[in-house]
Amino acid sequence: MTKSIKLLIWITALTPLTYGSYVFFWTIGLIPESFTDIVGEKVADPVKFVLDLAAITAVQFLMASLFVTPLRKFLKINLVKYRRLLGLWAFTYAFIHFSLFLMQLFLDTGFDPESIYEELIKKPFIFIGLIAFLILLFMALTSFKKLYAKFVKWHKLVYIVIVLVSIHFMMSQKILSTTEGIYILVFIVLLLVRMQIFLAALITVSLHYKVVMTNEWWHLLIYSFILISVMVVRVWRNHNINMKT
Amino acid sequence: MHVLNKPSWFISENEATDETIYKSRRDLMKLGMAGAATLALPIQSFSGTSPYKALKHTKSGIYTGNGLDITDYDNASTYNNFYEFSLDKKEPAKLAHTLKPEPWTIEITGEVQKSLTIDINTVFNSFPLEERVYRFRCVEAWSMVVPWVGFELSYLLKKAGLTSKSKYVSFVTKYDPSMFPKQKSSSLFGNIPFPYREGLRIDEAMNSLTLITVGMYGKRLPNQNGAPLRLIVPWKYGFKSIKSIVRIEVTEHEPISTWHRMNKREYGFYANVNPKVSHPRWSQKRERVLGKFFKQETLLFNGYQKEVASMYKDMDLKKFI
Repeated sequence: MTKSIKLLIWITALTPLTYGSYVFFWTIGLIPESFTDIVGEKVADPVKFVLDLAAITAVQFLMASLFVTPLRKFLKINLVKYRRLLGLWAFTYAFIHFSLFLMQLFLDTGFDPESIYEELIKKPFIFIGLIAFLILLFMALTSFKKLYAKFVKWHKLVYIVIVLVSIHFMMSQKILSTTEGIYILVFIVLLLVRMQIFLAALITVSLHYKVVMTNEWWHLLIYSFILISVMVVRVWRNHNINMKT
Repeated sequence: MHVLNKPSWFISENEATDETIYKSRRDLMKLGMAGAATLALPIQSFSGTSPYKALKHTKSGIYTGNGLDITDYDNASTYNNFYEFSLDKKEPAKLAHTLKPEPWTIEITGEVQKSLTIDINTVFNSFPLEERVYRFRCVEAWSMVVPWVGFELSYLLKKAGLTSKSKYVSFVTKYDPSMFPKQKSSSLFGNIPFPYREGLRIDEAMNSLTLITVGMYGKRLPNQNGAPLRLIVPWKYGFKSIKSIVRIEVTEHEPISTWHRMNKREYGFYANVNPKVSHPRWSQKRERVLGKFFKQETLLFNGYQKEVASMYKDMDLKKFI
């Protein structure tokens, strides 16, 4: 059972990588045309295609690893032994995303330190992504047995990663599509079930900033609903604490 | 004494690097850095020609595309920002069959001597259509090089006749949810307000670069590229070049433009291509030409400073974005 689930995770994890590299190398002409009548469509901007694919896959694995705890809590399904694998795949895709971005930045600016500083540090959109990546790197490095025992407390930093990733994700879009918005909502819910009310509210406010740009009243309704549920959860938590004492 | 104050972005003609020298220098740098020579070559070209009806036209003597690599038709017609269909760039090509470019009329109204209503077939058959190869730069930092077929907007405005109150020109995309499904059902997280609107100052509208376009690659416009008729303002970011126009109104006051209304800090009314003024979220210094692996440096006014810089000589381009 354990083995087949692990195999499933590996297959799921390797699929975007295989597909992404295939489309990329095909589009830039490194795979001969005769091989390629079978699947896929060429993309106009292969670099952006891989950047986006790696990013969304990282988000999906990050999400999957975060579902482990609520599943155990609420549905009594214990998947803890797969969490590290899921997290490491999230990191791997974040690594592909980040290193491709960095490589492109280096090549395009001709390794000019001033331009690199300007794009990497001065633009909050990129900087936020960079911090999220560094936290994931730290978590990946300390995910092995001995270090994990020592640093397990620090792995709560993943909540910060969620916030940073959500904001980075929203900033990358001119307008959020429904699918993209749902990813953000899932992140908010994942923080709420962990009682990270403040962080959930932080994403909500950013989402609000993005959503109110559209000037549609029913978006405000959704936003208010989220904020109200945040407050309800908070009250409910306080109530429970009072009951215990 | 008359003192000429040169703005900070002013570049005199003799200071500017000749484009061919500049390009070959960039290419050499890239070749050296890439190591792998294959990567410096343009991405394998796509096959593909437009399936639309051919248009009778002459070729421009000036904008011939000399020194520019024309973007492949498949790329130019499948990578479109057309939020009336989808927020995704590949989707409009698949969804735009609902757009019916005929019958179609265009209204020219407002502060003009006489309002006009023109049938699209009149445009196809009796307007002075000309092919011009222009650079097209999106605010999202990608770009392409397209042979548009169209006529100068000034030709139309002169036909209607300007008055002393003609200060701005406003453009509106057709509003018809049966043709543009997203105009009615926006996604859960919203969309831009419809109908899409854009605007130009009258001197920008009368500039000889400004085109009303009815075709590309020698054929009529594909639906997803804004059929049957769209604006092309090559020195401004692509969102200014409004698609599927149904009304042109000459106004006395600065008109609404959709993205500017959405977010004034990020999208200005002028939206001139300027590598020195970055978008709040990303740099505008470089752009990726569709089909190329490496980005290239973005040029002031998208390379059309000779034609347009004089219109902005008294303006702070960092302020009037």
